[in-house]
Amino acid sequence: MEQALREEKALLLSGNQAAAYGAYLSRVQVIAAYPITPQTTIIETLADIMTKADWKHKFINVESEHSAMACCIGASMGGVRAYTATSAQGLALMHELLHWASGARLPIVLVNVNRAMAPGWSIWSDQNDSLSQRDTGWIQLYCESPQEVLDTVIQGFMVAEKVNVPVMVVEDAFILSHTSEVVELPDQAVIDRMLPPRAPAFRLDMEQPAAFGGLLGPEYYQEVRAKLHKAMEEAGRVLVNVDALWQKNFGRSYGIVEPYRCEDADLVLVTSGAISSTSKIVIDQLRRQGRKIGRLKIKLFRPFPFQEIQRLLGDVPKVAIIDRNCSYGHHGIFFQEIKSALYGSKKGDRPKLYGYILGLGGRDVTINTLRQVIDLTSERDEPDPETIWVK
Amino acid sequence: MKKENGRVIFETEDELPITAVSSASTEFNKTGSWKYLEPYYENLTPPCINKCLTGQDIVTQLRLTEEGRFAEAVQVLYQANPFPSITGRVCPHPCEQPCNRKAYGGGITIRAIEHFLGDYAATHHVMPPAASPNGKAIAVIGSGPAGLSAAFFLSLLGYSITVFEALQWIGGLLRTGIPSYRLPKYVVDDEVQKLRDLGVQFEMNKRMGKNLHLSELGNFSATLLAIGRGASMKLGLPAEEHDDVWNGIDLLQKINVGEPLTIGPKVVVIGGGNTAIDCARSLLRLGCEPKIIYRRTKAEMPAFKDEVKQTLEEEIPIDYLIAPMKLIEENGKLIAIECLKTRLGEKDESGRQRPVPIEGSNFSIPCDAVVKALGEKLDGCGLPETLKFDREKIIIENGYRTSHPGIFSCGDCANGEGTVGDAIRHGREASLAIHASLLEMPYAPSLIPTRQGVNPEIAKFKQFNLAYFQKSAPPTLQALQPNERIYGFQEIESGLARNEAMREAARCFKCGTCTMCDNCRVFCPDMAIRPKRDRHSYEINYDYCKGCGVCVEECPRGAIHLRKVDVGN
Repeated sequence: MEQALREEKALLLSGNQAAAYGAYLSRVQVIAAYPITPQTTIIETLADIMTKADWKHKFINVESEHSAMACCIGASMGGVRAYTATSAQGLALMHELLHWASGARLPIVLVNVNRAMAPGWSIWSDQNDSLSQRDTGWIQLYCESPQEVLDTVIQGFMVAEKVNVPVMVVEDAFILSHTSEVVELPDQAVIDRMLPPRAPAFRLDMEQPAAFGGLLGPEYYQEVRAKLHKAMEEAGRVLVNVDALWQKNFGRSYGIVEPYRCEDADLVLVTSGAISSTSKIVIDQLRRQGRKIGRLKIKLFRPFPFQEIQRLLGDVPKVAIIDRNCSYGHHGIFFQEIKSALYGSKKGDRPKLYGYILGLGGRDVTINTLRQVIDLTSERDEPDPETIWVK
Repeated sequence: MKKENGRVIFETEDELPITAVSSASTEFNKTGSWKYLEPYYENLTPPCINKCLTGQDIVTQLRLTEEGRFAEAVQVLYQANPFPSITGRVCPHPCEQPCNRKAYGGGITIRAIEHFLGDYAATHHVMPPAASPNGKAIAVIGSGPAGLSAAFFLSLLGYSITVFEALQWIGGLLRTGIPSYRLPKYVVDDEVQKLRDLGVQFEMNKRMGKNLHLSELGNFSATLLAIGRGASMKLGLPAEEHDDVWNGIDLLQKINVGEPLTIGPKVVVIGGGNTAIDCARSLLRLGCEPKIIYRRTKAEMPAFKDEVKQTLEEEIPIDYLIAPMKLIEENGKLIAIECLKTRLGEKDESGRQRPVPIEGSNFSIPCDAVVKALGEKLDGCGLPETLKFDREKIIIENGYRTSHPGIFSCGDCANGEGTVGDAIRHGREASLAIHASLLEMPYAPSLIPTRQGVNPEIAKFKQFNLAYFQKSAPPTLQALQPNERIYGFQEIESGLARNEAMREAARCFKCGTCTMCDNCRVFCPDMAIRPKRDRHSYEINYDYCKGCGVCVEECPRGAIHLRKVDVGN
């Protein structure tokens, strides 16, 4: 049975099923997760695979997401590959331990299904849950399709175990999590070569007793934290290499950012997540009309791809940035990030940045919504001082 | 990277690990220095022990009983009380009244467990550790509970004991006063046999001043007078010496030793104490129609509450606020007692309201006999003239010494308060006093010799962690129903079975007493608690105890406490 499953070439999978298959193909050893809509089908699919496949692992039942992350931390400290998945309030409940996982330099992979934060209760998509965890020291990767979710989970372990920093793989609620497409399963033998069993630098070991996470005085704390920051920077370079390897082995890659028809564009739309696919159709439509519009998808949010942003957007006259999130009292979070990346990037004129907040709480973002964004940008010579909330 | 005083010092950034991980010992870091509070172990006094008349270590007895270690439990009992089979039946068990378990399913039936242990001791012949004789002899006058208790403890101190008893039966009131339905005679026989097995000699029919004189006691190193109170209080009415007017204790003696008796059928028992109750209930069992009259109300009755309750269950009428005025005879036979109604007036020196007769409220109660149970006092007849005593008691000073050199006194004749438990405690204390005197050492009374180092503060319910206890009810004590018990002298209560006693002992909180349950050690986040080598207590490594108080919280029974640490500036 196991053999049969591992030999599958392609399956019709939702984003959540793909997230589960990614864990399976990564030969995850410990899973601790607590169900929460819209993440639940990840757990269900994992359970389903477990019954079909001879998969050497432990699934730890927990009573909360806080405990789920605590279990992953314990498992990862024990030297094994640990995985979990959650959404929204569940991710928020993990917050303290997200810091712990990164501070302890544990290569855990977490799939977060983007769901709006309550109240009012919402089970639908927006990005405030994961972006609220921006400064926890986790690598964050935003995906566009079930295929990308599956690939990114495996890539996530490859990067995480290289730089000893945990990885959060993010997908949109329902739009990705519950819609299916044909997903190619990478060859297990190749994956096993690319992602060999974990060889931790240090781990809990009765034979070599050590104290972990103990008191770290002012004389060392800052330097140790600087190492996390350096590892974060390193992660971006590692991901580029991993992605290149992916291209070589499987014929597809994602990049840490993905420009689409940006070459001569005088307006570039910046997107993340599933909106990136919708935006391609809009770009194609407008290009047919002769308008020079491009699109830049940001996959890697942390570490933030400064150089790529500067290179790809630095000479564009207008940049329209779509945020399915809000930093209340400021702007959309991607807007802020891009603005800070471009500040001082070159002499002379910098691009004009137009910020748009839309699609909160799962409101549908259609082709028309995006055309509205582009029209609003085209017709204004100068950006509004405030971010525009698009209906 | 270098080491200094056990600490690793990193000299460059490259040497630093990527996270806080250390393979060096953290013992250099005495984290206990952070604390401003520290836990300490100190057993508090369980409320039962505080109230025990004999001063037993009840909690230790129950801990051993819980584990089925009955013989060891009896040995703990013997340190304070030689006669658990007696007190387990007749003690009014004030220990049970303040039991903390009452708030959580029901108080522990301590007396029933003692009853079980006493019967276990008798059937298994559990004897205290034998003493080597010290060559000295002591005379004990009186074989009631105080005298027998003293005989027991003096034997354990190595003395050779002779007990002199005025009557032909050993046991004093245990034999002649307490009815068999409360205390079967075989129980007393067994306890007397235990004393004989310890080498105690008994001489019966030896009454002070009559056929026993001080001059005959010259060979004894000391003499202990424990003669109780043999004289009945009088009514102070004409015709009090009539044949149909009985003294309560005389009546009980006749009944208890089985002498032929003609009385009744209608009998009025005057009084509100245990003697009145015992007389009425015994008379009922002999087929009479007793009625108790008392000059105060139920609230003031000195009789044990449980006994009054059982009396009422047996449908014996108790009439309150009645004072006898006159005994009415006809043809030489008592036919009625004339009484006055009373009301309660000012409080007297006992704190109870004095009954005041109501003028003109006279009425008669027809009866064939009257029993006076008005209380007893010392029978001073035959006591040596050199012995100071007032009308009620032999005067003793500290160390149970009478005014007569070499003569000690204890129990109801001296300082007793009228219960078997008191008498037993006084017997033990008097033994220690005599021993100290003979060793020419000062006598220091120690009420609870086994509880050294225990804080006298009473352990309170709110100090316990109820997560470790289940709410549970005490066992139902098997007892004869009123209609089953009033036709004979069969014992009413049948005591607990072995497993019931164990289960009931296990229900005990062991208030304020460390039982080595190990919770504190298991919960200590700093692994700063470990059992001492003797495994009877724990020690705390204050170098690493941070004073978090988790052990205090998790101690089920309030045996660990927090105190402030002087942290200076």
